[in-house]
Formats: sequence, C-alpha cells, structure tokens
Amino acid sequence: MPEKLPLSFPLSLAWLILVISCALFADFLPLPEYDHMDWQNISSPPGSVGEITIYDSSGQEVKKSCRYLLGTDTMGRDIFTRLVFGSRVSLAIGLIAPAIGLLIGGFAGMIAGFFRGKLGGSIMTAMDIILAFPGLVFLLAVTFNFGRSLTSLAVAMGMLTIPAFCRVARANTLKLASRGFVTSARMTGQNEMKILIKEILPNILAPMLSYALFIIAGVIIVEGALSFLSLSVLPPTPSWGGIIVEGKEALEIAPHISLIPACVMFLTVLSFNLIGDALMNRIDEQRRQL
Amino acid sequence: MSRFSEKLLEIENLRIHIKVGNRLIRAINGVSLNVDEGETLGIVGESGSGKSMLCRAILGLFPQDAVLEENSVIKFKECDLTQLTEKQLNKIRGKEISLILQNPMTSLNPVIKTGKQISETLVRHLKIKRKTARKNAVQLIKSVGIPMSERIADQYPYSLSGGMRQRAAIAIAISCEPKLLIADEPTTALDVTLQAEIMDLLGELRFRKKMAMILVSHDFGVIANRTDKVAVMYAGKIVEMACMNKLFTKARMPYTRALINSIPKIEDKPFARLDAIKGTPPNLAQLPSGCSFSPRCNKAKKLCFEKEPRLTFDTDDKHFFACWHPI
Amino acid sequence: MKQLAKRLLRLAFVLIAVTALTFITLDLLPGDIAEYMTGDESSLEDIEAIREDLGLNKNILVRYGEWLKNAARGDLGKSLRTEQPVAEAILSRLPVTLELIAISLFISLALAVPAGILSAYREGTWIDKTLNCIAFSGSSIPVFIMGILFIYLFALKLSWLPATGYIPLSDGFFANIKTFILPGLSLGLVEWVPLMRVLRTDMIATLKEDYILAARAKGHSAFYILFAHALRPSSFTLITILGLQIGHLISRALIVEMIFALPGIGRLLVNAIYGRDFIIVQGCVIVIAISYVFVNFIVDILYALLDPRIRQENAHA
Repeated sequence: MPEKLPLSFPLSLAWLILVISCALFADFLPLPEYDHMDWQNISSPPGSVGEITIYDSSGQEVKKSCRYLLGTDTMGRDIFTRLVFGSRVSLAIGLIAPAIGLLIGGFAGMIAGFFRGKLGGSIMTAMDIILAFPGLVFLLAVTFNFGRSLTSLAVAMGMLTIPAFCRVARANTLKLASRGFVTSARMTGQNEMKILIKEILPNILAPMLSYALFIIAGVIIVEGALSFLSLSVLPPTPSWGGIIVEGKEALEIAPHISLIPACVMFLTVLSFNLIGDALMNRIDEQRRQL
Repeated sequence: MSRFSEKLLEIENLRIHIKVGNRLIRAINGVSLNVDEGETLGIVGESGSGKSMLCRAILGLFPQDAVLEENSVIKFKECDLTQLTEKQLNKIRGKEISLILQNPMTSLNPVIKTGKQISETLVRHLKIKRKTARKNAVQLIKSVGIPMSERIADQYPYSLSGGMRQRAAIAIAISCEPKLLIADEPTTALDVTLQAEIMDLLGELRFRKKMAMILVSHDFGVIANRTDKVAVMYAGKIVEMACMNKLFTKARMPYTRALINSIPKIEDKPFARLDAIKGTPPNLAQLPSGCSFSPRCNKAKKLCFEKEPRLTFDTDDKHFFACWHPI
Repeated sequence: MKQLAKRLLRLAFVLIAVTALTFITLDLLPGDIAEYMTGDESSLEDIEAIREDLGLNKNILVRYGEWLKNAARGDLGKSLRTEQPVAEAILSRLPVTLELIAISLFISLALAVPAGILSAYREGTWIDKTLNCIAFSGSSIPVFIMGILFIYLFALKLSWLPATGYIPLSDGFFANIKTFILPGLSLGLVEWVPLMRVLRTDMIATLKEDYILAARAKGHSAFYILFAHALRPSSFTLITILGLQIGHLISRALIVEMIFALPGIGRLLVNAIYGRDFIIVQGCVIVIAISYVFVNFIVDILYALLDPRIRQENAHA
C-alpha cells in the first residue's frame, strides 16, 4: 500500500510555487522599485503606508501612495519587494549550482560505481580533494579572486556540491550494478556505456533528484550566509541574507527587518527539505516492496 | 521429586496475545503450571509453540505490543508478578529469577568486558563494592568451568568460544544465587559435544545450589534424565505434563506420543523412515476451534474439533493432560 | 603499519594539492595588490617597485615554492595593512576559534545524545515524533538566522547575555564562558540534528539485540541499560559523522564569529577579505584548509582503530 504523502507535502509545494512565481513574475507585480528609498518611512512596521514617486506614461512625476506590506528597511526600501527580487538570487543560485553538481557529480559517480577499479579510485580521490576544503572558506577564496557575479557564485557552489552527488550516485550505481539484469547485460557483451545510460541512469534518476532537493536547501542556506557576510552578489541587487544583515543593526527597534526575511528563508528551506524527505520516503517504500 | 512442598512458581491461565495489524496472534493460550523449590521442570515443544514467550513472560519481559490478558496469574513465592511495577520486577530479575538465552553469540554485550557483565549484576542486587564484585566474578567464572578465569574476566566476549560464552552466561545467571533459573534452549546453538557439557554443568549447579530450574528445549534428548517433570507445549498451551519416565511410557495425549515416536532411535535400521508428525505447526493467528492439535491428530474425533479439551488428571496428581480421547 | 604508511602518503598528497590549489586560486593579477597599496596617484614606477618587492613578477611555481619554504619555517608573510606577521595574527586568534568549536561540540552532543537515546527508546510515540519534528526544523534554520534570533531574544529582549564581544579567560572564567553561550548555542542548535538522527537509527537497531534483552533479564533499570549497555555499541556512526561535521563546523564558526564579534580566525579572514588583505587571506585559508585535512585524517585513523575490534568480533560471530 503506497503511503499517502503527509500534509506537509502540499503545504510545502504551495509555498514553493508562491515563492517561485513571485521570483518569475517580479517585474509584473505592482511593487515599488526595490532600491527606492522612502526617507519618510524608515524602518516602518508592516502595513504602514507611504508615498512613492513614479513616472507615469507621459513622463510626469506622480506621487502615489502605497502600502508597505512587510514594512520598510533601514533605508526606507520596501521589504516585500526586496524579498521578491532577492528570491531571484537565492533561487537562481539554488537551482543552478545543484544542477551543475548533479550533472558532473552524478555522472562521475555513475562511472566510479560502474567501472570501479583505478578509474573509480581516482575519481573518489579527486572528490576527496574538493572535500578537503571547508565549504564556506572555499567560496570566500573563490569570490575573493574571481569576483562576485552570479555566474562565479553559481559555478563555485556547484563545484562544492559535486562530491555529495558523486557519492550518492556511486552508492546507488554500485547497488544496481550488482543486480542480475545488469550483470547479464554486461556478460552478453553489450556496450558498457549504453548499459550505463539505458539501464542504470533511469533507475538512479529518482533518488538523485530527491537528494537534489536537500542540496538545493543547503545551497540556499550557504548563499544566505554569504550574502549575510555581504560577500554574495554585488549591491544594489537585494539578497535575502543581505536584508537580514542590514536589519541586524536595527534589531532592537525594528526587528521585523531581519526577522521577516529570516522566516521567509526558513520556510523556503524547510519546504525543500520536507518535499525531499517525502520523496525519499516514497522511493524507499517502493524499493522495499520490490 | 522435590523434598520441599513449597510452591515456588505458580502460573494460572496465562494468556498473551499480540496484535499485528488486524490479526490477533495468540502467543500463549492458557498455560497453567507449578514449579516447587528445587524442582526442575522441562518444557518441550516445536518452534512456535510459545516456549520462549513463556520464559520471557515469567519475568515480565514482553515485547512492546504484547498484551497480558486478564485473569493471568504468575505467582512467585505467593507474590503475583503480573501486578508488580517495572521497578519491583527489576528487584526480582537476575536476583530471584534468572534467564539464560538461547544464542550465546548474541546474548553477551560485545563492548563490555566479560567480568564486568557478571560483576554489574552483583553490584546491582547485592550492593557490594566493585572490587569485591570483581573478585566474586572471577570466582564465578572459575566455578562454571572456564579456565584462566582472571584473564577471561578482563576480556571481551568476542575472545570466547560459543561454549565458553554460554558458560559465562550461566555464571551471570547464577551470580546472585537465584531461586529459579530459566534456561531457554541453552544448548540449541552449540555443538553436540558441548551440549552434554553444558547440560552437565547445569545439572551440577542444580544440585549444588538447590535452585529450581525450567529447562526449555525442542529436543527430548536434552531434557531426558535431567528433569523432575516435563511439560509438553503445543500452540501456546500445555497439553501434557508428567515426570519423564511416565511421559515416555504412558503418554496419554496423542501429540506427546507422536513427538516421542518421532525421535530417531539408535536401534532403528539405517534408512528407516522417521515418524514425522503430519501437517505443519499451527498458525497462531488462526487457531482452529476445539483442540489445536486436531487437524494433525490421527485419533481426532468430532468432539476434538469442536471443544477445547479440559485438563484431566491421570492416576496421580502429578500427571495431567488435555485430550478428549487420550491413549 | 603498511596501512598507516599508505594513509600518511595520501595525507601528504592531499596537503600539497590543497595548498597548491589555494595558492593558485588566490593568485591575484599582479596589478591588483600593488595598485591597491600605492593608491590612485602613483606612477607606474612605484607600482613596478612594489611588484618587485613582493616578488610578484616571478613565475607562480617559483612563488609557490618560496611560499612553501617560508611556511615550513613558520613565516607566512606580513599583513598588507598592519605589517603584523600573519602567523602571529593567526596564532593569537586560534584559541578563540578553538574554544568556540569546543563549546559548540559540547552543546550539540549534550543535545544529540539524550535526544537520540530518548527517541530511540520511545520509538513511534509522541515523544519521538516531536523530537523528530524539532530536529527537522532545526536543520532548516541557517546558522546566521539562529544567531540573530538569539541576539534578539536573549540579548535585546531579555538582556540575559551579552550580544557581542569577547572576554578572554584571563579576565575571569565565568565572564569568558558567558560570551560563548549565545554563539555556542547558535552553532550547537544547528549541529545536533544529524548527530541525533544517526544515534537514533543505530540505537533503535541496538535495542532489538539479544544482549539488551539479557540485560533487562538481569534486572537493570532502563536508564542503566540505555547508557551503560546500549550507547557504546550505537555510537559508531555517531563518531564518524562527528568527524565529518567538523568541516561544516569550521565554516559555520566563521559566520558566528562575525555575528557575535568574536576575535577568532574566521573574523580575521572575513575582515581581511573586506580589506582585500591578500596575504592574510592566503594565510588563513591555507591554515584552515590544512587543519581540516588533519582533523579528517585523525578521524580516519580513529575509525580504523575502532574498526579492528569490530572486525574481530564479526569474525567470531
């Protein structure tokens, strides 16, 4: 009997869809500019009303009142807008970096697990060297040198996720490679690469993808930490960690500046983790029934 | 025959079931028996007859989802064990009643030194100092026939062979001089040559310490000549109980008779057919109505399939059986 | 013994690879430091002079070799901004980072061990489910958010503990510990989760073993059995994971030092990055990387030491 997915699954999914949609359609949402500073409304609590100046179709300055859904930060910028635009950074890195890791690490892991021997050994040693660096330190070193563009960040974090994917891919491949249908295919002289792609790959895709969800959660956290240290993407692009660190100074009088983005980040990471967990359990159940 | 008439252990109508999903497994289906001081009771039965569960039940060591049914009574020295709290039971376990498990390879903790596994029981129950306890532990190791007792006490169980480990387990069990020792298939996991040694050791201890014993086995050979009386278990019930000789010669219940007959004998010719009991052990979740043995009994009549047989006493009150149509 | 030699060789290999890679990664375009140091209004000759002085014109392999030679003697260069020897700067801050790591490891174990034992003992009950929920949520909170929450709650709202700052041991034991409580908790409350999970799984398996039933039959209390009989055999994976966690711990300690203004190596590194003090960045990164490699190496050896006993035991079983 397949286990029903827990209640947390649809809730997490809903939250993620919300966040992703906001990120995608940010430009179309009726929000003030993310770097527009309303000096009359510094550190205002959520729900406060302020005035922004926009230019209408004829190029004239028009003052319009708007409601700051989640308040403003220490420079009068709307937090909701900054969160939405910051989600682009978090999600972009959060999705691209694991994708890199999945492709390279997953492939390397499959090869290491399937062919083993010296090739497998050297792949794992290479992974050990990557793993020999504490992650954040590696990122700091890389961004110090190669700059803080979205690309260099995504690539650097992608590299860090390679060993994790490699390990999981290898473990799964090893398990599969010892199964009957693979050994028989190998013995009948079929092209090994073909076997790898046709037999092994489809079977490890599911666990790899659900594992990827955990990695996405982890990358979002790391990006948050980097932007918290003001070492992520360059301003004025907002990032979740950046908003939080700016709010740190005003914690006593306006805690919402740090705490609201903190909640948003927590919920997003939690959602990825919950979905990954639910999928992993599903896969384990199916495997057990086999 | 015991010289003491004091009843040490009295079990009345013990019933235990385990709920698995929506099935009810009747692990113990109404067991009543007595053990006097210094007496040895043997319990024989096939796998799944409930022997092990009975051993654990006496000490209150039920698995998590097992339910002890009402009206089940386990009286030890006039005290009902089923009514005691865990704390009170812990005072009895290992001190008044001890248990030896079947597999010596897994019943000793691999990361605790052998001597410590003995002395910790002494410290707990007799409240003596650790140093004294250790000395006593070494003595105990010696008394169960393990050579180089000092060295062995300081070694981990993995350095001991199966036979030595079982001896160590026995040393643990007798360390606090219990009144009752329960041995659940003590030799099943050992070589035949070791079987006799271990059984001899138990017999010797029985005389020396004057303790009562419950010896559980599926093998009559292990029980023969080492017990005062034997109970035969089937499907969670005791179907016959008598002293060994009487059981062999005048078994009344067909199952007992069939069991005894199925033992291969030295006098048998080579390639002689074994007198196996037809059918398979019953499914404890789906017991037949009436006598549990009826589907496999070639003496079964209509009544056997309908009603559960009552316990009947034979000529003396030491022999009873549960059968509608005894032999 | 042969195994040990093989491992040492591998260690040396990884160390060289790590230091070399770090060196190359941090190899700035020559113009950068020199320009930074001389400021905007400098002539090309001044920049050239500085390049000569720092030896930036030489081949990178030569530079690496020289650096290695100096490092072996304990000379990691001098800070570009303060002229302080890098090795000295790092050594003076090392105790702070080590104390932080030690305290957070202690806190995470103090949380993980009882939680893991309790939830294994009461598997499936509401206690287990609640602990698992808490653990799951805990693993989704980034360290820096944990830090901010703590500052907000305990330092600002309740004023129980100081928000930032560091008081060295020489100024008093309790004052010193006080400054480490919030940072240690921020780290510990994130670190304990994988430890607890792993302990729980192993303990659930251990509690099903025969020797636990035997221990119960001996009349020991549940508490005694859990801690004296069940904990040791279940700690294997825990210790392994603990070793792997050290890497994460180092990275997270960095963040915590920044939030709570603790003068440790992490803070030294990040500030050096802000100030583009290349020499310090290089020194810090390499020292951290090397320590990490060493710690993993030691964990590996410990694992192998624990292993033979288990291997031997399995052989007999």
